[in-house]
This record gives sequence, structure tokens and C-alpha cells, in this order.
Amino acid sequence: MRVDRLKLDNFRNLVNATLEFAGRGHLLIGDNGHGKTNLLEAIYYLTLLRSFRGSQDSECIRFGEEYFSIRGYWADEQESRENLVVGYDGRRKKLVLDGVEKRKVSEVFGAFKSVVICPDDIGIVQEGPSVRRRYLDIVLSLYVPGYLDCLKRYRRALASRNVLLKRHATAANAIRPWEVEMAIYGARLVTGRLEFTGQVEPVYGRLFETLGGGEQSSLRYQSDLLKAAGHDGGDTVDQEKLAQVFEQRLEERRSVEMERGTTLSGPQTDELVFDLGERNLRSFGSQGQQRTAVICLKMAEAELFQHSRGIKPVLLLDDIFSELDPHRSQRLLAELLGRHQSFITAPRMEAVFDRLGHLVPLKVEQGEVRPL
Amino acid sequence: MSRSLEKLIKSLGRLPGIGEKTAGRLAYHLLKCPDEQARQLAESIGQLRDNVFFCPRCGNITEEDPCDICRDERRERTVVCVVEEPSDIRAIETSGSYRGLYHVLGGRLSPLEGMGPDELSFGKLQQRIETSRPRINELIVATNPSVEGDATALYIQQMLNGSQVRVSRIACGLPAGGHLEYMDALTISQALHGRHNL
Repeated sequence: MRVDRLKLDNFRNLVNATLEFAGRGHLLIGDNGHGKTNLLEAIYYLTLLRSFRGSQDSECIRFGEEYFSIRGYWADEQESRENLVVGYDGRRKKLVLDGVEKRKVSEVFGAFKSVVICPDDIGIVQEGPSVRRRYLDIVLSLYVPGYLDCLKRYRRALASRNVLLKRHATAANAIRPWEVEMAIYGARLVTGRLEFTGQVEPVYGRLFETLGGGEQSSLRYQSDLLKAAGHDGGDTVDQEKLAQVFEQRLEERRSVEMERGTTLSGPQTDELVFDLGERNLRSFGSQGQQRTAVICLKMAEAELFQHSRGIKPVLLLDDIFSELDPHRSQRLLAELLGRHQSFITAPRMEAVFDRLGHLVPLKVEQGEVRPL
Repeated sequence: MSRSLEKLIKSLGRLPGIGEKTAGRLAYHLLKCPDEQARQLAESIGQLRDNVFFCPRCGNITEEDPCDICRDERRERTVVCVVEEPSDIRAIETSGSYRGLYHVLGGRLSPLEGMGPDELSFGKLQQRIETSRPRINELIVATNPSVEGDATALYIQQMLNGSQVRVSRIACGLPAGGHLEYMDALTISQALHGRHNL
């Protein structure tokens, strides 16, 4: 993937302009608060259709304006060109892919593939399991067709069951239909997450060993349902059997869960575990190791889709590169970056960027992007 | 602004799919259009409220008891198609490919919107199955293929579990004239799942 052009209107503090990008990418240099991250955010809007910083769409409209719009033009690995407009007018999001307005987010999600790595991502390791599940759900929604629809259906069935559980006296026949649906879609979610973890794990492990100076870290997907289904630890599982086990478990636990007023098992309780040797990276890893782990996970994500589908996502690195200390890690990362179009932000040019000679430096000042 | 106009804008604004601006535009249009056109609209609304009610047998909208479809002797009386809303009957009738009777549930199961089994006409459906002569042989559940529509179908299936009635679900998958390459993944996976022998 390669983004060639970006037309910005009223997006954050960025000056309305049409930006042309170099095929291999850019270094974005500028003081904090001048709009470097906003530019990455705008590019990533084409992938996620919302802010990667967790902002509301309305917060992305430039102060005093009524709408924003981002139009991105990109080419994929076969040089086939597409463009997408993501607009928001204060009430409704508008998505136009190649001139055709799309009403469903799932029709546009993942059309443009990019991977963002930012300082806040360390939360993927440090924070609670829900952050890691969210990461898995986003990645799978982008890359696995149908996953997002399954996720929405699962959540709706789960929310419906929880409402009924809270009413305590709900009859079994009123609650069962929702359990059947949870089982069908929940099994698909677990299968997808397990497969992804299995595929990304070896790539992650290899990267961690090189970037982390020889230390061993690994990933595994932890799920009660898999355990209950007698899963042997491989990357695949019989989806129908898993659905049966899930449905049975929901039925067995119904009365206990009714007392608690919520569903206690299912993919919404699963966990992506980062191991550091025999220990848990989340509890025992240093800040540096945790940061390396996140960079490795996201780079592994990018590498994985290159291997499996021939897709090379655009890489967006927000102030990450210079944080890697030893020269070796930087050299290795620079090598990886060389395979993708990359956008890297930094407050100033540094000696380490010599390794990134293939990137064209741009200056971001007061929302304006120009050659350095 | 005139009080009558304001009142009309407010009433129009309560209609589904109509915001404040559209309501205003409609109200001004009604003010400017020929007198007869506006009065006809008012009259049709009045007539609708006076004359139209729900068929006590099937729940369809009707001006007579029972409704046209329930009364029609030429229709297959042993097959009943279960739908969420009366508007769904219209859609199926337009297709011209169904000659049985209907049963309108009046919505679908949706705990998130406060719709439970008691809010829908399941009881009446069960009663109809028990008392109808000739006997009902088949129920075709034609609720929407949403999470809620599917749950409603499952509910009906378990409600009639063990009875003589065959319960079927309308197929869900590719639309006629559609192209595979333009379909979303879930639709295709459902179409594959629901394939049939040639």
C-alpha cells in the first residue's frame, strides 16, 4: 500500500491543502503541538474511519468550523488505485469509496491498510485485558472479511442476554435464542483470534529476540472456552464444536449468571498473554521491554499480512524510533521500515535518522506541511 | 411565527425520519400548496385513524374484519408466514410468489428495546395453530435476518418444538441479480451455509 495524495479540509490544526507523498515515505519534523501527530491521525482515519487517539469525530473538526473531510488516494501492491473520503459534518459520518457512498462501515473498513505505532500503545501491554481484546478486534476487523459483522452481532446478542439476566426472573425459553446466537458468533470470534495469534506469534517472537537484544518473548491466546472444548494448544479449533461447548456452558451457568446479572464466560473475557520467558511481561517486564513488545507486535502484524496476503500496510510511527536505545535495534527497525511506505514523526532531525535516508524529510509547522 | 404553523412543524417533526428542517419545509409547502391538496392529506389521516385497524386473526392492517387475506378462500390455509410488521406483508405480496396466510408479530424480540415475548403476538400464534381448521402444517418464519430477527425465529422454533407443525426459515444470502464480488463477507458465508442441493 502506498498513499500518494491526501486532501485535507478543516482537520484539526492542519492547513487545508492537498499533500503529495513520496513512495517510500517521510520523516515529519516539527515541534510538539504543530500537527505532526494530526497528520498521522488523518492518514489512519482512512484505515480505522475514526481517530486512533480515541477522540470523537467532532473533536477533529478545526475550531470554529462545521465539518472536516479527508480524501486519500492510494495504490495497492498491484498498482490498482483507490480513493476514500471520510467526512464528518457534526452529525453524520460520510464515507465515499471510489466515488460510491457507503452506508456500512464494514464495507469500507480495511480498504486502506496502515499500522500506527504511538507512545500510548504501551497500554496494550500495561493496561487491562480489554485493551488487548480491542486490539485483536480492530486488527481482525481490518484483515478478516466478515469479522466486524460477527463482532457486532455477538455484542448485540450478549447485551440482550445481559439485559435478560438482570431481570432475574426471565424464563429459560426467552433467554435461549440469544445464547444460540452468542454461541454461533462467539465461536467465530474465538477461532479468528486464535488463528491470528498463532500466525503472528512466530513473527513477533523473532522480532523481539532481535530488537530486544536476545531475550525471548511469546504470545498466546487464553480462552476459557478453548479450555472447556479440550483445545490442544494448536492454532486451529473445530468452530462448530466450540459453538456447542459455548452454548452448553451458557445454559449450565445461566442461574449463577442470573444472580450476578451478567455473562461470565465467552470471548469478552479472553486474554492475549505476553510472556517474557517463564514470566508475564505485563507484571515483570521493564518499561523498555514492554515498549519493545508493542513495537514488535505491530511490526509483526504488518509483516504477517505481507507474508500471507502480499499486503504491505503503510507504517505510521509517532515519535517511536528515537526511543529505541541501542543502535542495533534502530538499524533493524530501519531495515523493516524500508519494506513499507513509512511516516515517522520526531521533534527534530537526529543523527539516527541517517539510517532512514530513504525517507523524504518534511517540516510540520503551525499545521502547515512543507519541504524541510 | 403563527401558532398553527408552529404546531404543525412540531407534529411533523415527530414523524420517523423527519428532522426539524424537513418538518419546516413540509409545513411551508402545505401552507402554499392548493387548499384541496392540503385538506385531502388531513382527511386521509383522519380516515386512516377512523377506518383502519389490525386484523384480529393475523394482525395485518385492514378496514374489514377479517382482513382481505384471511378472507380469501383461494389462498392456501395450511401455510402461515410469520412477519415482524404489516409492511412486511406488503413486501411479500408484491413478490406474488406466496399464496398462504400471514401472522404479524408486531415487532421482534429485543431486550435492549424492551421487547419481550409478552409484547409480541406469540400467544395468538400458538392459539391459531391449535384451533385453526384446516390444520396449519407449516410456519415460514420471515423475520429480518438481524440478530433480533434471528432470535425471534429461534424463539418460535422452540415454542413449537414437539408439535406437528413444520417450522421453516426464509433463506438468507445473495440477492437476485447480485454479483458475488460485491457482496460482504457475512452475506456470502451465510449463503454458503444455507446452500441447497441442485
